[in-house]
Amino acid sequence: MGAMTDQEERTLDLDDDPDFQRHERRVTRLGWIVLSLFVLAGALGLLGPGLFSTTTSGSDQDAVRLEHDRVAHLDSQTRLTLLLDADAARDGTVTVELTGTWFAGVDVQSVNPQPDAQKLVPGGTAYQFTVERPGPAEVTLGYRPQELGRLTLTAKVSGSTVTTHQLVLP
Amino acid sequence: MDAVLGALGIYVVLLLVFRLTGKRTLAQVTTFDFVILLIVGEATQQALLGEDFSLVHAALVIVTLVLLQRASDFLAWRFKRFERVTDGVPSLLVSDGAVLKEALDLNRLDESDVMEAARAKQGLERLDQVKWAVLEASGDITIVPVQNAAPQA
Repeated sequence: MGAMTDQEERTLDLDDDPDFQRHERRVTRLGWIVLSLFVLAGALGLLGPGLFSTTTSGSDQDAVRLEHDRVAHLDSQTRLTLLLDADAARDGTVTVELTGTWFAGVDVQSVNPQPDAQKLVPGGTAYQFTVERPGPAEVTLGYRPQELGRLTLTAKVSGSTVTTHQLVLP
Repeated sequence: MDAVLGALGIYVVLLLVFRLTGKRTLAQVTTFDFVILLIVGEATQQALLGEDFSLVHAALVIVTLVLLQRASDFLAWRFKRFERVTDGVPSLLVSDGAVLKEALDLNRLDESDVMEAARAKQGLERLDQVKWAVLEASGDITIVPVQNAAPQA
């Protein structure tokens, strides 16, 4: 028995719709492209932690630089590192003042190393650390973002001010 | 680890595990196999999501896994060799009425498995009513009864 032609197939009691199927295939193909771009953006770090997601705000001249992911996810464990310059210490202590919408929008869960003192300042908080030996140092903050959108963080250390932004996605 | 790389890693691990444990792993699921699969799912979820339960992370993991599976399907359709590696090949279990003992042993099967498929799919009563039995790449056993077999050339 030979193969059925398209016209013969149409005589079957079949509830198909070739026009709809062609349209569906076009939409599906577009969908695959969109999904592939979504995965590519994720792999590159445009949607959260990824290959190129880490950014550092501030320059070598600043007493502090901020290293973090450009994009964070709501209520997921996230880290921000304060890279302190050797000149950041004054009289054996470093005071880091953190202010901005970032501070109100995240739940800080850990500060490593632990600060010797923590003080309230308008719009944020200030951490004070004792410096054992002069030299560059790092302070890591572990936190969970609690607000969606673009959060702004300003860090002040020894008169040097650095501002950065982080986007929080659902 | 970020969502896409994590999903890729888990996909490769699961592919290797289920490919190396043979064709019958999913086709012959016992109650205990089912429990093991649930535990595998739970462990996989922990590895994929970690402490990030956000919508974007979950969406990235899901879309990555689905795309990997579709890409694998496409490569299997395009390249026969890839299909053989990822999906395996069918195994002949009964050839022209003769039971191939070695093939059964290799696939950890016995005649009762063939008869189970023969009863379920063709309503056959005895092994001599089976002309061909094939363990398909999917893990399913297909049966051609003696009366339905095509005449020999």
